[in-house]
Amino acid sequence: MNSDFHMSNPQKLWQNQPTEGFTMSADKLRRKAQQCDRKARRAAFVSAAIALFLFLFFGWGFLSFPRFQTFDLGPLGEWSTRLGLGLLSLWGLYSGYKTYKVFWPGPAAADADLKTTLQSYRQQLEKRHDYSQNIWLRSGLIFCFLGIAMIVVPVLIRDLVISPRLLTNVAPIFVLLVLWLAIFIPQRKRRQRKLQQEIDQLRTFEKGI
Amino acid sequence: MQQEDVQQEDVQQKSLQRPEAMQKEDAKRDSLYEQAAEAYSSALDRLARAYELDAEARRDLLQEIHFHLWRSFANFDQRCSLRTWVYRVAHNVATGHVIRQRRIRERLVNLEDFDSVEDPGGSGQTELKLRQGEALERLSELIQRLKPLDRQIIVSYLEEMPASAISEVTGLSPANVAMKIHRIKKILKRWFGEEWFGEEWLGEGGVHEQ
Repeated sequence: MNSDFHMSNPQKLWQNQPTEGFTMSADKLRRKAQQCDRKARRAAFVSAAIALFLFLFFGWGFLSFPRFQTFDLGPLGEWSTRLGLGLLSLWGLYSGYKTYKVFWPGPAAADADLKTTLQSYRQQLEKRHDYSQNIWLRSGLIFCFLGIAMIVVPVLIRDLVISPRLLTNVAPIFVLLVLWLAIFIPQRKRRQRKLQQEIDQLRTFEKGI
Repeated sequence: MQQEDVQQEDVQQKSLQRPEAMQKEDAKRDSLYEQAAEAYSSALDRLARAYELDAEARRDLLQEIHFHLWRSFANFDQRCSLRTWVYRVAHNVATGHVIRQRRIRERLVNLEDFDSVEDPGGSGQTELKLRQGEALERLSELIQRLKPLDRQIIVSYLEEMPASAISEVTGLSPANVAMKIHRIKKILKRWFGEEWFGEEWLGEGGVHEQ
């Protein structure tokens, strides 16, 4: 290769770069396909098993709550804890179903590869946008946190009534949480806005404008 | 090695157990993939380079592209040319690779906003005696800063694809493709210096029309 290289055309420069000519044999590709399907099925089964465990564990808690209760929460606290356990049990089932749907290998849409790169790029961005916008609702995390809050808050209130000094110990955690949310939420909104702008721009291109 | 042989036998045995119609489909898919790999393996290597600088990650990406390509041929009904199909699948897989890397994706710019990106040699600097490796590195650096759609266009342009074929692959109108190529040439001129490329390229001959 010439060290004082001069190329009259960037296309030649690009095309003359060294390449390996990478290819894969049909057998290797078939093996990879089988591995991918196996991996996806395994992930689906594991998620289903975890979901079933969560459903049964929290469901058992919901049904037999007063029996293992070792401290007094009052009637309101008891109901809140019990409902929280029930909510977590249902969330376990729902999240398992969602994960199973994501992982289980389904047939590819016949026209999936016919899409132009512009369409495909736009759809991938839309999927990402939709995912991050609705992640709380779609994954049911809202119900998960609500369930946890319904269990934790009565215990916290009871402890604070017994020992008010506990408040000063837990306060820094809440301050940090608020600070993190104050930074995270606007950042997330800005990212979402930028993503939407890009999607709109791609739509304009698709219309041929 | 022994384990690989066992796995290979397993794959062959499983494919022999498949019904005849499915075996025919498999053979058709394999043959299309072989055709595509023979004609475009070097181009796919270069395409992967446009999306991933790290050698190891690039090899993974390339494997992913070949795998998706092979799988996609089950749906190939010749409604478009083999070249268009190969480039669409490859760009779509590679674009997914970029989109997954959020931190990198958020720093990418459009061709239209490229003026805000500082050129590595300093504005207006001409470098007639640039080594091939350095020039290629600089070209790759430029490509890596672009958003996926513009990256698809610059790569297709560098592969000397006609504007009509770029339009077919990307779905952009030919007028938009021509406009983007014009901008690409201006940026290349700024990054490499006017004297660096030959006069014939700086003329209108850079865009190939069918």
